[in-house]
Amino acid sequence: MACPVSAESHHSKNVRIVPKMPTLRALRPWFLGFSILAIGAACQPRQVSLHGNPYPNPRPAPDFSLMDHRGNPFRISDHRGDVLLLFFGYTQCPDVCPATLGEMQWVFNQLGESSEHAIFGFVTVDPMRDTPEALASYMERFHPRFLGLWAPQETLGSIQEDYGIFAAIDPESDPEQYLVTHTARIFLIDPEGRLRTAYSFGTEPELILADLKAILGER
Amino acid sequence: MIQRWGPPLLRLTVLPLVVAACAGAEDPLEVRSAWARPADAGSNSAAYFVLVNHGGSDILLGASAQAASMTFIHRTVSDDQGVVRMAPQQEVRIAKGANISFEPGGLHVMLMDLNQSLQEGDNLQLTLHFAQYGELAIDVPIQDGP
Repeated sequence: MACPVSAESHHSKNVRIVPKMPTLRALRPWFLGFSILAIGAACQPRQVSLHGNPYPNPRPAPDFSLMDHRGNPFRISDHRGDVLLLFFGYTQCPDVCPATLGEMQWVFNQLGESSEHAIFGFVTVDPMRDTPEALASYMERFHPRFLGLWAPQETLGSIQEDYGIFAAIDPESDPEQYLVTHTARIFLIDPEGRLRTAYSFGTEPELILADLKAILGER
Repeated sequence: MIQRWGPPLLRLTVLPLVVAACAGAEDPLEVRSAWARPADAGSNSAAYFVLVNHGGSDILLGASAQAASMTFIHRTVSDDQGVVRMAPQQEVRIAKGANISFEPGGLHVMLMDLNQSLQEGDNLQLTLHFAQYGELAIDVPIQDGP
């Protein structure tokens, strides 16, 4: 605040009575208070505002033990420092899953070198047909930071539950070529392993890209 | 008078009309921006396009492709929980003058249990079956996106 003119002249004819400037001593508690707040604010991790459906209170993402399509074990806790995008789908999905992967491919291409700190995990909800070998063949078509993730049905059930994912064989589809009805949602897990937001199918890839850049900027 | 001028007059008026009719009025059904995703043999893919109806109303009853064991018309449907499923479409009404878009997340021709892999750069032969028009054969390029 600009310091108002405080000259008080008791002697001048045109004395202007102005509010007396508070003494430094009186201001000391205020300075202290503001300083504490400022330091506190600076020390808080900068939480960017995200698109999709942000979690109001970021919580640890439920961890799991899966196998990636290259045959390596995959746990969220092994990827501190990376931002993870998690999606549940299956390779025989004719429309939604390929569309999602195509859009994520664009996003990862836009990230350029930053993609080294990002992973797109495609958890199959069809472990019977999507063996790790089948996943490998499918994922190789995409960005190297895309991982197909596999777990047997017994383990997959609880992982799906943890993430609120519905997946079931469509009873109207041909049993020989069944389709799987499933929740289409992309979860964003930050480098501290916390769930930050989730995107529904149809979310503009530009928004997801913006969020990834923002989260990577938090590092 | 008529005897002298009739025949030439007739030729001058009727002939152009006949020629115009035979030259083929614009095809009532037009397919634009067709494409289908690459996929492995044994897996599934989907074909997308925009159907433009320059003629009277018609109904798309189905599709067929040599490259796929089964071909269906589906619409992707999602509920408010984000659960997506494929809803088979027995028919798609194409109103007079309509533009119907088959696109990801919506209507699509599902190509199931492919007999061969579809690679980017290939071309897929797809036949659309209409109630009025009959069969419309189209060339669908295989590509990653629209």
